[in-house]
Amino acid sequence: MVAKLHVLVCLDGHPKSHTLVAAAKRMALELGCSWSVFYVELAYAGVGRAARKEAAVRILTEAENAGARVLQSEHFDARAATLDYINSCLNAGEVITHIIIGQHAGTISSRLFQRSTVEEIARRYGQTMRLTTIPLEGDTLPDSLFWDHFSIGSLTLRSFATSTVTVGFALFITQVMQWLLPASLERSNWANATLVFLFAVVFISLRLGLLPAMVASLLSVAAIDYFYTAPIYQFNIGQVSDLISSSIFLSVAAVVSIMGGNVRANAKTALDREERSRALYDISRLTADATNQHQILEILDREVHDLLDMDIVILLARKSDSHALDIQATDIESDFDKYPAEAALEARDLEAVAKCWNESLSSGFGTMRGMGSSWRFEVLETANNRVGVFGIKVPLKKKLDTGFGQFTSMLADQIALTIERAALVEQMNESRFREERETLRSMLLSSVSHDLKTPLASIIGSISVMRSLRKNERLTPEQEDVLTKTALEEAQRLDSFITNILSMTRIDSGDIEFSIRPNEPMKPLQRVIKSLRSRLEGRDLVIDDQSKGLPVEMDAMMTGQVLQNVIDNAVKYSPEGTPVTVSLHREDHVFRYVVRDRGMGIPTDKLDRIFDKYERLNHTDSQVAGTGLGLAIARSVMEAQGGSITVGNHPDGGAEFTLVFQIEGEEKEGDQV
Amino acid sequence: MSCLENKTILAIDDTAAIRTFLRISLMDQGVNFVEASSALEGLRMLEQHKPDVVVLDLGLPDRDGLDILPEIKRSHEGNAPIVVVLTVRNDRRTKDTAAKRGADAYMTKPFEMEDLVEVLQNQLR
Repeated sequence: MVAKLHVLVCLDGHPKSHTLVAAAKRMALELGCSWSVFYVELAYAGVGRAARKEAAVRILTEAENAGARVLQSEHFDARAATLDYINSCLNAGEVITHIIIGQHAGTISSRLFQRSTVEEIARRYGQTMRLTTIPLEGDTLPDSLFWDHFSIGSLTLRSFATSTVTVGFALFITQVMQWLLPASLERSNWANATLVFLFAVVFISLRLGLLPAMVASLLSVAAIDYFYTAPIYQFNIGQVSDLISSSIFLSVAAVVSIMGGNVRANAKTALDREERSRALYDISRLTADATNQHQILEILDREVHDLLDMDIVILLARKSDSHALDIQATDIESDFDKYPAEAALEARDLEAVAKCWNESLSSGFGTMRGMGSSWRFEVLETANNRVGVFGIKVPLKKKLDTGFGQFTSMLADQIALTIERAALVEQMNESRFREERETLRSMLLSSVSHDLKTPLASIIGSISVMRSLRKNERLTPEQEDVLTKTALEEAQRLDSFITNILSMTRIDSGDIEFSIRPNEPMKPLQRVIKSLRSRLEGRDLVIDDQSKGLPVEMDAMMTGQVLQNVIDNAVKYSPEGTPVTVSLHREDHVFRYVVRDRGMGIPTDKLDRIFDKYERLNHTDSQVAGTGLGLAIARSVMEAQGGSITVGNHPDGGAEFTLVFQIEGEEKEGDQV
Repeated sequence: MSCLENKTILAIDDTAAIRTFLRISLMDQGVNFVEASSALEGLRMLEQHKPDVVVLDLGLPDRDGLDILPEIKRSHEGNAPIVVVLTVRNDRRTKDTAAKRGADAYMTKPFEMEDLVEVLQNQLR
C-alpha cells in the first residue's frame, strides 16, 4: 500500500491560528501532499462577538483557497473533539503523517488543558505521526470578554414582566401549598417554597438570560422574606439569611444562564446550518426547471434574498472566452453584466471583485483580501472556464459563524453549475432547433416537388396522349374533351399550390398587405365556388346563408383563399359524393363561416396541431396532394385579419372548420373617433 | 397491330387525372385496362383480373407502393405480372429498393405517354 502523506492542522479560536495554517501549507508543499484543517469552534464562543468569528472565517477561507480540506466542529471540549476527529480519519483509512497543533501560552487553565491535548495526541499517535507544536502567544480568546460566557439576555419591559409574572406564579403555588399542608409542617413548607422559587429563577434564566433571572432572583428573595421568614408578612431586609439566599439564587441564575447560552448557541448554529443546507437545496430545486440564464438569475436573486435576508450580485463576464487575468476595477462595469442591474457596488467593492476574478479566489468580507468591502465575493467557475463573480452582501448587524465562508463558496459552486447547465440547455435547444429546421426544409422540398410534379405529370401526360392520338387521327371529340378538362384542372391545382406557397412565404416575411374593408361575406365564397367548380363535380356544396347580407370587415381576396383551402381540404378528406356544407352566421359581435364535411373527422390528438405549418409533412404518406400549407396559411391569414380559425368534429360525424371574424360594435367605433 | 393488344394492365394510382389519360391512351391501343386508387383496391384487382402488367404509383394513401411490390411479384404462382413503377420519387435509394423488390421498370413523373408505351412494349415483347 502506498502511504499517502497527509498533514493535519488543528485549530481552535485563537486569533493567531493563521500561523498554524501557514506552517501546514508550507509543510504540505514541501512534502507534496494533501492537507486538511480541523477547526473546533468552542460552543460558548457561539455567543461571543462577531469580530472573532470573522477572523476565524477569514483563516478558514484562506486555508480552503490554499487547497486545504476544511472541517469544522462545535464542541465544549476542544481536546475530545480533536482526538475524535483524528480517530475518525484513521478509521476511514486516511493516513496522517503530520499533525500541527498550537501551544497556547494563555491562562493557567488553558495551559494545563492544552498541554494535555498535545500530550494525549503524542501518547496515542506519537509512534505513527510527527507532532509539531507551535507556540501561540496571547490569550486563548483575547478579544472575548468574560461576559461572553453568559447569556446576558436583555432587560426589556417584556422580560421584566415575564420575570415578575413567573415569580408571582411561584408565590401562588407556594401559597396553595401552605394552605393545603398542615401548620405542623411549616419548616418543610418553607424549604419547599424556596425550591419553587428557585425553579422559577432557573426557568427565567434558561428562557430569557441572566439579567431577567437576576430580577427574578431578587423578587424571589423578597417574596420569601415577606411571606416565609419570621416575622412573616413584613420585610426584614438585610438579614444574613437573605444575603445567603440571594447569593444562592444569583449563582444559580448565572450558572444556568451559561448553560442556557451554550444550548442556545448550539441550537442557533444548528439552525443556521439547517437554514443554509435548505437554502442550497431550495436553490438547486428551484433553478432546476429554469431554462435560460435570465430566469435563473431572477430565481437566485429572489431566493437568496428570501432565505438569508442578504442582497446578492452576480457579475457575468461578457465574453465567454475572457480569461484575462488583469481586469481593472474600473473595467468591471463595462466587462461584466451585472445582475441585478441596480446593485450598488462602491469603488472598494469593485476592487474586491477584480481581485476575486483575477486571482480566482474569494475576496471581500471575511477574507485576507477584504478591501474594506461589506460584500463577500466568490468566483463562479465551471469545469471549463470562469464565468463570473458572485457577491453576497453581509449586513452589518448579521451575526456570522465560521461556516459562512464554506457556505458562500458552496453557493457559488451551485450557481456556477446552474449557469453552466442553462448554457448547455440553451446550446442543445439551439442545435436541436437547427436540426429540426434542416429536416423540415428537406421534407418541405421533397413535398413541394411532389406536389408540383403530380399535377404536372397529369398535364404532360394528358397533352402527350392527345398529341399521339391526333397524330394517328384517332382523337375523338369526347376524348379531347376529357383530356383537355383534366389538363386544365390540374393546371389550376398547380396554380393554387404555387399561390399557397408564395402566400406563406410572404405572410412569413410580413411582406403582404391586407386591405380590410366592409365586404359582403358571400362575395369571396362565390369566387371560391367558381374556381373550385371542377373540384366540386359530383359533390353537393350546400350554402346556408344567415348573414342577412350585412357587410363584414375583411380582406375579401385573402379570406377567399382561406375558404378555398378549407373547402378544398373538406373535399380531399371526405368520400366522393358526400356533401360539403358552408354556413354563414351573424351574431352580435361575431361573424362565422362554418365549413363541414362528412368524412371521418380529425383524430382528437391532432386537433390542436392541424394548423401547424408542415404538419402534414410529419406523415410519410402522401395520400392527398398538398404541402400541408393550406391550413397554416388559413390560420395566418385569419389572425392577420384579427379573426381566428378553429376546428372540431361535428357530433354527427365529419370535420368542422369555423372562421371567426370580430364585428366592431358601434359604441367601440365611437370611442375610437 | 401492337403487342399491347388484349393485354390486361392494372394502374394503381391515387391521382384520378393520371388514371384518366392512361385509360384513354391504353384502351385506344386495345389494352384491357383496369384501375385502382389505393393499394388495397389494387391488390383486390390483382386477384380479380390477373393483369399482365401493373403500373404502380408509390405514394398511395393506405400503403406505400414499395410495401406491396413484393406481394404483387409473389402473386399468381410464378406467373407474376410485370411491374412498372411510376412515381415522382427520383432518388437513388427508392430506385434501388424498387429494383430489389422486383420492379421490372422505373419511370419518374412527369413523363410523356409515348415513353411509357415504349417501356410497356419492351417489357411485353
